[in-house]
Amino acid sequence: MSTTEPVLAAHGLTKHFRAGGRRVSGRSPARAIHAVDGVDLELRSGQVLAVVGESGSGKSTVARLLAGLIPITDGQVLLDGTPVRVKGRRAFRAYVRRVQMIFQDPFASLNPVHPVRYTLTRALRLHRKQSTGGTLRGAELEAALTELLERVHLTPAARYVDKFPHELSGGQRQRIAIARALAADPEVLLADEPISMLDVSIRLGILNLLADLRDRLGIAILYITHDIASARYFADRTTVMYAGRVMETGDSESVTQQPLHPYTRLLVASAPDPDDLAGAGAAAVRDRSTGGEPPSLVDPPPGCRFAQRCPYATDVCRTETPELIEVTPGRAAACWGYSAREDRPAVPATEGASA
Amino acid sequence: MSAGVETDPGVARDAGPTAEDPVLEIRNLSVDYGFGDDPTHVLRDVSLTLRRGEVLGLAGESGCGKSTLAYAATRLLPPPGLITGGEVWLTGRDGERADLLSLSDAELRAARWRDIAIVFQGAMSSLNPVFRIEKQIVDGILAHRPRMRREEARERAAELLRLVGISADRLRSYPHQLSGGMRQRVMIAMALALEPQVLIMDEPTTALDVVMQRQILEQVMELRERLGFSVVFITHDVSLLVEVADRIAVMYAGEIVETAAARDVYTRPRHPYSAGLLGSFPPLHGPRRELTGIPGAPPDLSAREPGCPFAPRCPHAMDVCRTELPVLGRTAQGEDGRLVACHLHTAGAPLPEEVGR
Repeated sequence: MSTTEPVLAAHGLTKHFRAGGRRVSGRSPARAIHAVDGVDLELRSGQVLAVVGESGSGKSTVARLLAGLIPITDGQVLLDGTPVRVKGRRAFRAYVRRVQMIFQDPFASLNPVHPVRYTLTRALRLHRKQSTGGTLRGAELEAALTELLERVHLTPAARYVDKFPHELSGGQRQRIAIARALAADPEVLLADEPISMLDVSIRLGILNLLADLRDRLGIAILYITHDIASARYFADRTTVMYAGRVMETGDSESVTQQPLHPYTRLLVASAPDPDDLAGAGAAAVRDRSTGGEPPSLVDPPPGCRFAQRCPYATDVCRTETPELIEVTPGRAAACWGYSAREDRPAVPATEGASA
Repeated sequence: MSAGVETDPGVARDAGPTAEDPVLEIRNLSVDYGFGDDPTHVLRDVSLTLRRGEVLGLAGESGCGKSTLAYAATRLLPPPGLITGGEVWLTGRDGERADLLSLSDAELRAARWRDIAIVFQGAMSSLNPVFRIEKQIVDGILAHRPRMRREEARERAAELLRLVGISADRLRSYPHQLSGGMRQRVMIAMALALEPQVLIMDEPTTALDVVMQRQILEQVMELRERLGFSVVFITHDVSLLVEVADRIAVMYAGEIVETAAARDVYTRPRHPYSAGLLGSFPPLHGPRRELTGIPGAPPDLSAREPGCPFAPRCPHAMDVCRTELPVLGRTAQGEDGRLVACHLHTAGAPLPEEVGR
C-alpha cells in the first residue's frame, strides 16, 4: 500500500498574518505574526502523519494552509509532485475533491438545519458522478449514501439518514463529518484535532475508525493534535511543532520514546504518565528546563524559538535559526546540538543523563 | 434556594462517626435540572467524603455530573439546577460542623471563599476583563475582611501572586495582558487569598498545554503541603488524576460508581466503567497495544432506563444490571477503603479479568 512518493507535500510552508493593533506612527511598517515558518511535510498513502504542538504552535494553521482555506505567504504545496494553485472556484473544487478536511468541533462543522441525508448527499452530488455520467441521483445516490454511513460504522444506515445533528451524540456527529469528507473519495484527509471535543470514552473509537480508513482505503491522513500519547498510538510518523516551526520529526515510536529535541523531551516529560509515578527521569528533565512560555510570534527574533526556555541554549541558539538536521536515518531535529559546529550547545544524547 | 432538608440551623450537635478527620462530607446529595413535572435527575444520592489534607479526584466524562456535584455542594448551582435532597457537612478548623445547604445566605457568603474556594474551569472568562488583577484580588479580600486596610490587602495580593510564581508588578496588569497560564495562576492565587480549607479545582488545566499544566499542578501540590488545604480535583483525564490525587471517585451518569486510592483505581479497577475509562487513554510509554475505548455513548439523563446506567455499554452486563440499580458497596474482594457500585461484585460469580485483578 505504501508508495515512496508523497501524495501531498509542503516545502517551506510559511504563513504570516498581519498584526493589528496600534501603530506608533502611520508610516511604521506593518508587523506580522509568524504563525508558521518554513514547515516541510510529506503525507504518504496509507500513512498517518501526526503534527503535535501546543496551542499557538501553528499546527492548525498548517492544516488550513494544506486545505487551501487560507492563502500561503511563502513556500509550496505539492499534490502528486505538482505545485498546487487553488485560485478560483474550479481549481479549488478539483483540489478539495482529493484533499478533504475534518474539523475539530462536530457541533459546529455540521449545519444544524440540515438532516444527515442532506449533508451527505450534497457532498456526494458535488464530488461524484453517475455511472452514466451526470450528477449522482436516484438509486445510485441512495446506495452511495448507505455505503458512506456503513463505512463510518453508522449502521443500520436507515436509522441515521433522517436525523438532525442535534439528535446525534458527539461521536456520531464526528462520524458524519468523516463520512462527508469521504464522499469525495479523497486521497488525503486533514484531521484537525478530530477527537479533542469528544467524550474521552469514544475518542479511541474515532481514532480506530480513521486507522481503519487508512488501512482499507489507503488514505493519507494528517493528524493534528496536542496529545502526544495519541500521536504515538495512531500515527506512523510524528512532527513536533513549537512556535510556528518544526522542532523534530521522525517515526512516532522513537520520537516519543527517545526524543531528541529539548522541547520534545520537555513535552514528553510533562505528559501525565501513571506508569512512572516516581518519574525521576521525567522530573529531572522538567527541573532542568526553565519555566516560561512560548515567545511572541510578532516579528520574532532570529535564533531557535525554544532557546529562551532551553536548558542547553548557547549564543548560537539565540542568534541563528537551526534547520532540521538529520540525526539518524528518518529522524531529524532542529537543534544546533546535533550539528557539527564548533560552538554547538552540549545537548546530552539521552535524557536522564547529567546536564 | 430552598435547598436544605433540615429546618434547624446547620450546626451539628452530634459529631457522628467521623472517618479520619473529614473536612467535607457530602451525604445523599441529589440534584435535578428543570422545575416541571419531568425534571432530569442529574445527581442521585451522591455521598462523598473529603479528608483533611487530601487530594480527591473526581473523574468522569463530560455530562456525568462532576461539575454539578461541586457546584451543588457549594450552592453555586444556577437555575434550573435544583438541589432536591442531601447534606453537605463542612468541618471548620475549630471542629465545628455546619451543613452548607442549610446555612443562611449571610453565613453562606461568609463561608464561601473563606472555607471553600473554587478555581473555575475557564480562567480566561472568570476574571473581569475591565479591572486590573490587583483590584479583583483586593476587592475579594476586603469583602471578607472589612476591617483590613486597603494597603494591607494590596500587600497580601502581591504576596499571593509571588506564591504562585508571578512577579508582583503584574498586579497592575489587566487580564488580557497575561497569558493563559498566568491567568490560571491568578485564579489559584485568588482562591487561596483567604486560606481556605477546601480548594475545588474544576478542570483547572484543560485549556492549557501539557507543559504549563504540569507546572501549575506541581505548584498547587507544593502549596498544599505548605498551607495544608484539601483539594477536590475535577477532570476527565484519569491518567492525570492517578498522578496528583490521593483518592479517586469515578462518576458515571450522575452517580459515583467507584471510589478507591488513586493507585488502586489505576492498577486494579473494580468497575467495568473505570476499566474502560483507563483503556481510553493510550499510554505514552510501555508496550503499544490496541485500545478500543468504550462502545456506545454516555446515556441521556433525561430518559433514564431502570437498572445500571452503564449496562448498555458494559461488556459484562447481566440480566439484573438492566433491571436493578446497583448501590455503592464493598468490592467482591472485600478490600478496605474502596467502594464500587456494580452487580458483578454482589453476584458471587467469578469476576471478569479486567475488574478482578
